[in-house]
Amino acid sequence: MVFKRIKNIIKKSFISKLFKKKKKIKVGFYGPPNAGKSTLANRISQDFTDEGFTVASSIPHETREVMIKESVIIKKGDKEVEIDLVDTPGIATKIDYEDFLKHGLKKQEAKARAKEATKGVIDAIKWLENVDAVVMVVDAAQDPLTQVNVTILGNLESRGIPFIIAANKIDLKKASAHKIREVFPNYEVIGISAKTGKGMDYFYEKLIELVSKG
Amino acid sequence: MAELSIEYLPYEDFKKMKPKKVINMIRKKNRILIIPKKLNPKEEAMLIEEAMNAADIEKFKGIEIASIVKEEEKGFWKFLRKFKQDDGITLIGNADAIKEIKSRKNYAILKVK
Ligand SMILES: Nc1nc2c(ncn2[C@@H]2O[C@H](COP(=O)(O)OP(=O)(O)OP(=O)(O)O)[C@@H](O)[C@H]2O)c(=O)[nH]1
Ligand SMILES: [Mg+2]
Repeated sequence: MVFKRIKNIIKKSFISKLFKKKKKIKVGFYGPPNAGKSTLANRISQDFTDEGFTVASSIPHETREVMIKESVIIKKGDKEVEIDLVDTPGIATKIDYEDFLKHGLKKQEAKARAKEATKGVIDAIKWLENVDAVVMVVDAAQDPLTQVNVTILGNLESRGIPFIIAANKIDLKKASAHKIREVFPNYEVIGISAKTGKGMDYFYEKLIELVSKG
Repeated sequence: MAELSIEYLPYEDFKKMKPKKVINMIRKKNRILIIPKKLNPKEEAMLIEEAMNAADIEKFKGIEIASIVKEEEKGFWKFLRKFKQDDGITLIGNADAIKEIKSRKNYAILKVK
């Protein structure tokens, strides 16, 4: 009896140690192309490490491979968490190289970008297996009722990955975090502008909450 | 006017098929597959993955996919929740022929190229 209890105590402390090691949580930034995943991930990295780690651009599919910034300590008040930022390529069901031509890319560049982008989407989906929590980034100036959003959110739910929704670009006139909230009333939706920094204080509070859950 | 052909794919058959084979079925332009069931998120993700795998930039750009489910209650969240249910249908089309499928309550809007 006593022996068993001692064994249990040893087991528990062992498990808690394991747990502590695992405490560094991988937070994936997911969403459709151009939503602002990289801008947001970079802002977080800038705010807490003074350096960026990924590239943002107005041309869709800028991120074509998973980019990781390890061991970022997020501090807010008396709370802090250590996370790996995982910036993923935007998920799409189709990629048309001709769209890139409109952004001024040459045909060859556009085709190469398209090919890489298809690999990026696969990469992003595969990485769902590796992330512990997710910040789902959507453009609050756009219709959130898209198949890509449904598929990502559905996968997060069915895989039991905790997540929050960042309704990004609220600096834009036609953006509405409220509309995103209306569409997803049971999820945590936080209005932010990754570009101007609006709403980031509250976002960090919620991010710490999310990670503490994961 | 462009023609669209609609092909019926029973869910039991879909489930037995490799994603690659499903994608091959819509590589023919102007074809839409109808599966009489709402796919689950993993199946959706698998199809997207395979579509990206098969995309060859010139001839095949990818797919458009959407589900139609019965919607009694307000809120998209409920709609999303429907992934746990069997009812509904799934439309999958070649992105070359179908510009967009918008899924709405009880119906879908297809934008055809
Ligand atoms: N107005 C506004 N623009 C933003 C905001 N966040 C990002 N952007 C712009 O949106 C475009 C896309 O931003 P990215 O951060 O590259 O988007 P992404 O989601 O990483 O895109 P992919 O890597 O292509 O999937 C860029 O031109 C950004 O400057 C924002 O809060 N407000
Ligand atoms: Mg990016």
